[in-house]
Amino acid sequence: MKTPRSEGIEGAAGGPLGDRPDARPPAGALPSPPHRSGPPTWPVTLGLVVTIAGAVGFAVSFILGAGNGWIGGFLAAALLGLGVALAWWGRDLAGDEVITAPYPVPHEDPEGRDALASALEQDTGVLTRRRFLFRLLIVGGAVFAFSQVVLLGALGPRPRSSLRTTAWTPGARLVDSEGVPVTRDALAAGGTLVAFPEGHVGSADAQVALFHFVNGDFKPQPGRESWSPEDFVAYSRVCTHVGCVVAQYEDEAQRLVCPCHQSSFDLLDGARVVFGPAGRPLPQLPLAIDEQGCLVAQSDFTEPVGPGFWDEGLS
Amino acid sequence: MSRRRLLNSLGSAFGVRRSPLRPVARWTDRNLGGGSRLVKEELRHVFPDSWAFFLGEIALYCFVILVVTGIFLSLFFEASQTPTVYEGAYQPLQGSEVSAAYNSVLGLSFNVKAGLLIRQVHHWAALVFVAALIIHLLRMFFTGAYRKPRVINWLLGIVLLITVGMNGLFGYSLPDDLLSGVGLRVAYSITESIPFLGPWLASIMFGGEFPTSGIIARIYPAHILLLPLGIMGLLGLHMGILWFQRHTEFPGPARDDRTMVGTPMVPAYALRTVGYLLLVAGVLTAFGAFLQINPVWLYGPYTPFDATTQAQPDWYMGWMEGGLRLMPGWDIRIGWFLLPAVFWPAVILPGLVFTPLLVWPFVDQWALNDRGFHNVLTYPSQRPGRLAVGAGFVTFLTVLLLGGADDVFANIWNLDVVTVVHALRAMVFVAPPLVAAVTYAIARKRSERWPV
Amino acid sequence: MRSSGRGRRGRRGAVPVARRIALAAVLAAALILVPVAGARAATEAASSAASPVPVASPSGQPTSGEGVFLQNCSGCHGPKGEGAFGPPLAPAGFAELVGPMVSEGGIQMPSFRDALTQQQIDAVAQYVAASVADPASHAAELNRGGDLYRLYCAGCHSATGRGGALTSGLNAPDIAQYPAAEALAAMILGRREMPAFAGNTFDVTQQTSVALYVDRLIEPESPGGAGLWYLGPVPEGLFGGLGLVILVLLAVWLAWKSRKAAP
Repeated sequence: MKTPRSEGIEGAAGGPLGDRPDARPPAGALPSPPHRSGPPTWPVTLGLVVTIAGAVGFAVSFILGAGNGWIGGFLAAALLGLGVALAWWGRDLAGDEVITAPYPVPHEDPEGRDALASALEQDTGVLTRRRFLFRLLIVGGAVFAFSQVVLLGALGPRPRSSLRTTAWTPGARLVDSEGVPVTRDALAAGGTLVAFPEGHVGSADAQVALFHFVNGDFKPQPGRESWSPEDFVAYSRVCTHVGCVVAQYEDEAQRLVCPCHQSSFDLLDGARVVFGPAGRPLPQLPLAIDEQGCLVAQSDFTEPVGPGFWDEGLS
Repeated sequence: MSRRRLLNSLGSAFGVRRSPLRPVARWTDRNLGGGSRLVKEELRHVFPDSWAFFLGEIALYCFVILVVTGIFLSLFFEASQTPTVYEGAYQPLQGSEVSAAYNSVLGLSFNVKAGLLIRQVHHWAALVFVAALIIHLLRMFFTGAYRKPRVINWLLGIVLLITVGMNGLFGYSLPDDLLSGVGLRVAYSITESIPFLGPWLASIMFGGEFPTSGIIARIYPAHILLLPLGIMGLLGLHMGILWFQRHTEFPGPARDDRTMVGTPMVPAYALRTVGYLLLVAGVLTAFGAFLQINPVWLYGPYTPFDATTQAQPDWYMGWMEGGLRLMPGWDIRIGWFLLPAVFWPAVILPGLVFTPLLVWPFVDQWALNDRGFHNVLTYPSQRPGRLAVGAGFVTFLTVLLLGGADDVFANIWNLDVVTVVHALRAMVFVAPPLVAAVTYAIARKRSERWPV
Repeated sequence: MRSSGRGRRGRRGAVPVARRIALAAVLAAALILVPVAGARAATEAASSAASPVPVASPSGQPTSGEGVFLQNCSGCHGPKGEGAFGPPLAPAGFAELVGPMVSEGGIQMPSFRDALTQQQIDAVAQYVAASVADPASHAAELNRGGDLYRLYCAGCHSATGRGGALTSGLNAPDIAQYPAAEALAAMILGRREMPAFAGNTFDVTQQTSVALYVDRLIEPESPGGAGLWYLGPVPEGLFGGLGLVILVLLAVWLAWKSRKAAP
């Protein structure tokens, strides 16, 4: 393709990288100032003035303890001013020098490749010629490398039973978030409370949402008729989707909804999933009422709390 | 000193007569022993001119700003979850129990002079960084800059994108606030869902069963040292390859695969790019000055028994969040073996997103039967197939991104979130092929005007 | 030396430069002093409290808090604030909760801004807080309210109080629409999907604590600038995209002149 060339390239001494035009000022001296009829310079001046003002303003407002907007605004002005000044200088005042240059021509080099491969084969022959020793070296290196994987074990324990148990024990009293035991009178019909095992306030996997349903509304799941004395029902609050706290209680719809991804659990029907990405219902805590009228747990949950994992079906 | 030399030096004090560069060059040459010719050649390194070639610079300069602001923040942040009672300047939390990490971030925000500014600039820079990386990737994709000899640079770029995204996730989780703490819980549960290795991997990552008291201390060195070192290394390779291969250029007069036309680095291009660095810094500082971001004092400290709605991760994780929300709860149970439904949107989906990106240069070579070297770009509409595939892919991710914000839309526009979810579930399958088909048709029409 | 052309040129060159520096310094000084003065004025204005202007009471309205209460409030809230048509005033133990509710009104409570003067409103607020409310309400603590809010309320109303989506077709409202005391009414009465927390979940002290915290969320503390609707990372991401657009436009500007450049 025939390409037109600028005078600058034509006049140059030539070199593949496109030397500067021949007309150079003498060594060590400055280039002469631009002509008056060239591009305007006021943006640079304005930019630098703004820079000075912004920088001083930033320092002063910082020292005076002014608000974020003042300190940041001045600093932003200083940066933008200097940026505009330099950008304008580079864009408009530094000349329109556009040159051509060659691309480094990418090429495949089969001969060079082969030569390299042969050289490498030759140089490594010292090792590879002794076949048994070399293979032992490979095996030794691999075994060493893989053995280091055990260091990962220092980072965390094997889960074992921790994912399947919580702090609930048989007879553990329910307490609210401030440690006060929950009695049958504390929660009127229709009410809700966040509860923990006594002594474990704030426990992540033991937390339950306690409800006191109006007579007749709640239908226990088969086999769980004894878990809800006087229609007090407790469900785990850890969502079975990805473990957020199921905190939205919809009073009219009688649903517990997770605010993270909107998994909805029907409280009157064993907290089964009615909408959303959760796959399993919320585990229910077996409750009882002791002689003092306090709510207690009969035992721990009978299934793992929270999101599922591959072997949760095994106990 | 002679009178002449005295007057010369006085004269140079008031009106620079001789450039100081000469003595500097002389000193460096003597004490380094060579290299001047190479530097002189590289000063005239040519850069082709197009606004589209600045997109990578946006990302680069965001990274520079992140490092600079991050160093400042690291002098104040305390990476510890030791409980402490807050007694700082923010009244509604005075007397509440918070972690030392959260306490230090509130200290930065309310007590350290310019602390909030630097924090906000840092966070805004992170959001813009990932956005710039994505738009830089899209520019590469739609103009064919990934073709040989730049395949390796493309692969490096994808790895950089993943690394930067992860670093962002770690970064916004450091303040240990309610919003980001919930995100860590989700990350733990997602890891748990991996078959066979999941629970153990999650325990290794977090140091035990969630919640652990060491996760912030573990994320901190990853965020300020490990991943930034990785990013710097990859970036160095990425830019080194770019430097030696020279930048691609759009078709035009005097431009072909062997000849590039552009501006030499010194003086014009260097001035422009330094000016642009300052402009990026200025825009981000303006954002940090006037737009509040991540007000952790309003969210409160993370506790495992609190929750909030509108709990999204930072925007670049939004597509994964959408996957989590839109995927129905189809757990797979085979005997005692359970494959939780989250495995698909949380583990498989990222693979489905990044694998095509990684193999695309090879797919492109195969599809167009073109395994040659290219230095000249193609305009997007010159390759209607590529444009359509890219548009469909972007649409897919955009629908997921919208899905991640479904409860915010429901709240602000007073919609029923259930309806929004159903609509987006349908759109995930309908919108991408539709957009791809329409894009293809339009591009075909346009490409008839362009030479192939 | 004296005759060197360079020296003369240097002197001539030096004068315009000095003038420019002086001009820039004057401009810079002006550009600094004006905003700094403004900043100081702003900080002063913020710290000085607005003093209430005494207004003569409209005829027919008593001037004492108790009098105002008996005349205007006891009809709905009962003569001792025990509740009748309107909810009981047991948790209304802080004047800063009562005052805005009286003057602006709530969902069912009318506004008394026109019927009462500010002085009367302040007086009745003091009276209700001191004498009508349950004394347990005075033990309320702001941070305790925050802890309880995040435990029970943030799941629906969001940690910043901007409301949130529910799956029943409704959305939990933005708590800033009404004065904080409306939250007390909601806790006592329950509203649609919101259960009645008062008496069940919360005792009086806890109710008041939560209301105090809700009061602080109506105009959340925003030292960082514009609050972006306090909706969290979603609008933040939107503005991040806007930032990118601005930077891309700057890049277009920067490359504009050389876009059609040929060598």
